[in-house]
Amino acid sequence: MDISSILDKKNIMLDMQSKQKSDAFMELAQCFKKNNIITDINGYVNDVLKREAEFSTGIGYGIAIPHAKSKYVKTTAIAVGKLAHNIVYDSIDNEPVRLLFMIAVPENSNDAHLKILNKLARKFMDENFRKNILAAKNEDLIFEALRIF
Amino acid sequence: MKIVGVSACPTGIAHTYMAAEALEKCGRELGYEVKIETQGIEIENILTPQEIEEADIVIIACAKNVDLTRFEGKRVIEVPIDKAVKNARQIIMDAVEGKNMSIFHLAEEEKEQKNQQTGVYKHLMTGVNFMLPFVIAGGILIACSFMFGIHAGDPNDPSYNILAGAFNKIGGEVAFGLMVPVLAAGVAYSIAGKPGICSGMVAGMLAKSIGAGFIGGLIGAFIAGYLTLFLLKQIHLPKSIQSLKGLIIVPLLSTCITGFIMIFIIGTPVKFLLDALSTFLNNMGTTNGIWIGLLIGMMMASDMGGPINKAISTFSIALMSSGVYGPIAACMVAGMTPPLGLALATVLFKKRFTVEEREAGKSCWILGLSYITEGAIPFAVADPFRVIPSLMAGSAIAAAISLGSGCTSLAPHGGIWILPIPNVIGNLPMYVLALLAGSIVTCFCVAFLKRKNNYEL
Repeated sequence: MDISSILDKKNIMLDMQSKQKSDAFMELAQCFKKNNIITDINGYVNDVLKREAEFSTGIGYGIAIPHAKSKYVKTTAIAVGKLAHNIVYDSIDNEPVRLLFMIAVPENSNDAHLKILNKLARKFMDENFRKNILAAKNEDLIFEALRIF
Repeated sequence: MKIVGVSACPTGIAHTYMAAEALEKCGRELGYEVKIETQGIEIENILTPQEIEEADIVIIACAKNVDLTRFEGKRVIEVPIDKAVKNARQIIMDAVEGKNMSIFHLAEEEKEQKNQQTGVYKHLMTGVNFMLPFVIAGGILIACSFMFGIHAGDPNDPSYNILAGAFNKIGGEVAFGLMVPVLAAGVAYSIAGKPGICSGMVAGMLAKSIGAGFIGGLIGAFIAGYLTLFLLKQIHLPKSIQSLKGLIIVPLLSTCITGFIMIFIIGTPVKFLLDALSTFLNNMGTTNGIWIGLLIGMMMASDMGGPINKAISTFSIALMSSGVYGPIAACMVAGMTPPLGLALATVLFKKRFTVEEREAGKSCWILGLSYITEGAIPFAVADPFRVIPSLMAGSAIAAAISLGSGCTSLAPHGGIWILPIPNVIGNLPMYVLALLAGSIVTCFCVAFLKRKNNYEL
């Protein structure tokens, strides 16, 4: 399993200052834009919020995985953001969120990257995996925790 | 305890898989076998009909509309997908206890629609899949017996060879003899499940013995299948003897009734048709070669082994004994082009055929060259209204060219393998041309009629 095809260390943010859900989305989307993953920040974030309105992507344990399939996305990618402040997220366990995995998938996407995402999503159900991710302090450790599927 | 389920979320990226993982994992921990189909951007981990059949509980964790028609009559529990992510353990325990559970039933009109759209086609395909190995194995074994000489399989012929005789018995008598019964058993099984096999197979065997061919077998199979289904629904027994129902009572009744229908209702018009066609052919002059050729070709390819085919081949063989060798040559070429034309089409127009058909196409080369028309039957069963007219067109052209240009044959069988024997075929070049032309016509007709098909390579 090669997470590096969808995760670039440049898309890992360790010290996000956002205090609100939508600000955090903007911050991560800016990172995507800078690294040429998406074409339009507002367009993409709107699609993420639209998805969020269906039901929350806060999966509990302080983790959320905001995501969207959007026409503003060029290639499948994920961004990881560790938040300096807990944010209110409407998670399924009602706990605040400290770690964000933002997922960008192009419209009509149908490729091998999706298989990696599927495996990653399944992995979130594993308690040890969640602990390792939450404990990881720097880019390398986060990358390492994700790499070992 | 076996549990199956479906998970699906609006984008199909994350929750679909988290819910599936959570349910499967908690199921394992609780000691149940759990398989969840993930309807994400792609559908994966697809539930087979057998798995659904065997499952005790169906869990639907979907935040979008999914087709539930497969779960007709199962114990189904529907839960919000985020609840499945969070509380999979609770959901499974509730399901096992039977909480929030209901038996899933389609709305009546949905049911009808479903039957119309997929029912008949699915039954035909199941029958074809049952039958295909018999056609291929049997056909190739018959071709093997030809290698010893065209008549080497016949104990009464001077060229009789004991190995050829065995090949002919295994392939020609038994494997080919079982072809229509197995087709019918497959169709009836698809309709009514295991209790349908007996009446379906008997109906197919009766179709063979009354000379009704594969079309008669199909009619019998549908009668057998739906009758079995009807009886299964209508007969109610006390619980203590319930197991007798599927094992004894329903097969006994449906086999008996279907059998009587086959013999007295289907058999009568078939015999009438055969007699009428024979009389018509016997009264017909043999002057106008091309027109009679067209007729011979169309009749040969119309029901492949049924009454129409039988009438024309019997007629042509009878003419041989009075020294007229043209019609039998036309029959043979018209019987070779259906498998050959289809084989050619599966090579030139791969995408218009299913993977199974492409495989069957390979054996059709040998079957066609050996004048084993039956090689075309699986194609005809699967898609009769496109395939049979194409076969008839090609065979008609082939037979018309053959008879029109005065080709003759001194042998009633043998296909391409008798062509090299000197003086067996009269006007050999035109005969080969007839064979090529007929095969090409069938190939392009079937490719044209199936032009909307687009299967993956």
